[in-house]
Amino acid sequence: MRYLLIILLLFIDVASAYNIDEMLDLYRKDNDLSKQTKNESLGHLTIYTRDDIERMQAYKLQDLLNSLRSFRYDENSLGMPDTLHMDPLLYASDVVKIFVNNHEITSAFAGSGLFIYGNIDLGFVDHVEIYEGSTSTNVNSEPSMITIKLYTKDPNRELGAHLLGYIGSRATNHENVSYAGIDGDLEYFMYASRTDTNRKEYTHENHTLLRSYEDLHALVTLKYNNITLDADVIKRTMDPFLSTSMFATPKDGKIDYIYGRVSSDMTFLDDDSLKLSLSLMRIDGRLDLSMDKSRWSQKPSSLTLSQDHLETKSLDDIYQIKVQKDFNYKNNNVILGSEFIEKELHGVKTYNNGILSTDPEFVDNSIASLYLQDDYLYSDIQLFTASIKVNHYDSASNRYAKIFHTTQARLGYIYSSNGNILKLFASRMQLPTEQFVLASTSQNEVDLLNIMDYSIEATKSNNNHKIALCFEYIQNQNPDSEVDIYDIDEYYNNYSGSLKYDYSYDDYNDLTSMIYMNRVHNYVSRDIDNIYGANLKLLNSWHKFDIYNELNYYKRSNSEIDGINYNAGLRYKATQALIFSLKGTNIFDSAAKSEYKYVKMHGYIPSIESLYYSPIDQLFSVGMEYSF
Amino acid sequence: MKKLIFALLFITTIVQAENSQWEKLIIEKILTSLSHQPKVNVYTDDTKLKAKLALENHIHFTQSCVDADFILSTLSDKPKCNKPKIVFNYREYLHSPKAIAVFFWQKGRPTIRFSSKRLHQFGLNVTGELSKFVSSK
Repeated sequence: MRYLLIILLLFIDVASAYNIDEMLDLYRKDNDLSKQTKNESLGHLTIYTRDDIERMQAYKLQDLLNSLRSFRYDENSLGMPDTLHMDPLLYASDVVKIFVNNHEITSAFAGSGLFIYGNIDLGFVDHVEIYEGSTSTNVNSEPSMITIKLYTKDPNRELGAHLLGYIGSRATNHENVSYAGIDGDLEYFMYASRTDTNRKEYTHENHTLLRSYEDLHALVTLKYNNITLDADVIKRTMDPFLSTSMFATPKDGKIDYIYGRVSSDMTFLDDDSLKLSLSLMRIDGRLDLSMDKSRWSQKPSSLTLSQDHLETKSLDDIYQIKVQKDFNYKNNNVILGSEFIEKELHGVKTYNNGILSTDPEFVDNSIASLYLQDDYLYSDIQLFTASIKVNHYDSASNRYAKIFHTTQARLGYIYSSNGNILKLFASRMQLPTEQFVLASTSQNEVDLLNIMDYSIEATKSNNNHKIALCFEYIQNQNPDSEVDIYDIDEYYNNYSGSLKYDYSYDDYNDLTSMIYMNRVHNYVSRDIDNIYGANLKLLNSWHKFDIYNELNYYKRSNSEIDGINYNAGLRYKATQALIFSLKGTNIFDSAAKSEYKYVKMHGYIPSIESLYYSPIDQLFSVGMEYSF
Repeated sequence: MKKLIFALLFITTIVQAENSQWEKLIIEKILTSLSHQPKVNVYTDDTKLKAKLALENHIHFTQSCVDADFILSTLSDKPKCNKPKIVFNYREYLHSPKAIAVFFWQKGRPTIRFSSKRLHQFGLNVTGELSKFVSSK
């Protein structure tokens, strides 16, 4: 009894040692919204909380994509975000799925919304979850290997107005304003931003390579009882970087698009176990490209022209509807759901040197899915998860195989006790990407890419220390037609492993670190590439200052891709409402580069050469934010 | 000595566990900043909130709002007593004439606000470090 009294007295002293500002701040950290949305059974999870995003001064999503095991931020030859970029493929990240408030952002053109959101401003975002490896079948419409979930700021937590702006190298600047309020039962959050990103310029054979872009972004979130409605519009105008130039010699051009989305969630029944989600998206895009020669030119006559000009307009429409019901039976949580997605790339008009293409490519796929998942709580510390999904495709754009099916299945086991966590997952997926369906128009049947994904993650936490080991094996079974025609291996085997160590000195000082290695079967070069990486991040707070340091090392074998990205930032919280910030990104201009292939002519003899440019520019910025 | 080590290890565990209970410490701080009594008489219909605050030394829960010094109100309860209320929703704070204080989220951060006008109506004042949260709104 005497000891219990001492303990209680000691605790009272500890609690009273905090002033009210510290208590409010610790309450904020403790009630981060990510704790309500994260789902460990979905896969191998990395969370960036509101606190992380603010202290890292992560202004764009790309700032959060450089310290992960299985991928890094990268861009394609048009300067679009493409984390699995593999030149000369135009877009390789169709298995990277991105969500805003649990609504999948996708496109018929790329099979993913990453090209829109990969470098979007983060002023509207509360927190970000990144799941590496396959996820449960109730999450994505089609199979994925990486799932990025953005959650917008909650109107109920954002009352009042907020302004943020920064200016940096090459006159790069960003301004955003947001306002949240409550009117009766209606809660609303409104956000608008403008970003002018002036990128580093390069010169190749007397041609200037540009990839600057300007964004206008507006977003509204409305909550009315059990109905949530999100709407956002993004208008982007960007330089075409290497364009589609065969010789990496673009002359002039512009890419611009307007992206619009309206999404809604409704829950029904007393326990909100019945959920209806609706989403409409449109991307109105235009490419206007001039270059010496385009890779896309199909007419031999254009090779004799001194200049190649491509102008393309298209509409990319997505319609989604999803119904899901949760059931609880004994120790089982069963999810039964159905989803329908219509993806259309239409209204395509392509002019090659002023001549309208007579055979425009288009995509028109309907996917109807049915999925079932059971999470079985075997004991307080053990959970088994199993899910299956059947996708029924109706592809109007495929000349021969209009109807076909794919399946996804996943098994998982999670053990969690006293800071020790073990996760095991095994998935089987079939993948017909939009590009693949297009490429298969001459096939009588749609061949599918079969993917097997096995992963294990073991985590041990002890006081302030956390250590985690992760290993993933992915086997791609190439379609029979590809194996026969191109004489490639039937199986491509990829391995990935990482060791993480995190140390939390106290509530305000954290270290996170990781070393990793990936073995990737490059399906363009057919080589085995080994990727080695290491990340170290320090987040510290001292009085009114937040200090951020991050280092990312990345090296890819068989290439010149090898470098260190070092970022540092300082925030000064003059008052609760007024904050000044200073940040350096890629401070030593030494971040690992990306490879872009092009054709070099030696007289009449062509050879394939590579250019290397980093997707991360050196950037120094100063910023200010004010709440009222 | 062994017992002391045990006690220190135990206290570390408690403090870590209590990190998830900053809410009750903040509510207790709001109440004690308004009352000069060693124990504050509080009424609430919210059983979850009552359970959270049950072991706090400075709080005594009353059976009826009539005997209470303050009412802790969430959206789920609507006591009719004419007692000062501490609320957890800004909308309720704006619309309830008895709401003297609100503990709510603003621009992604939890904060506290006391209404100087309503405090005056109930003859109350805020003491200590929480006095900076008194507002004319």
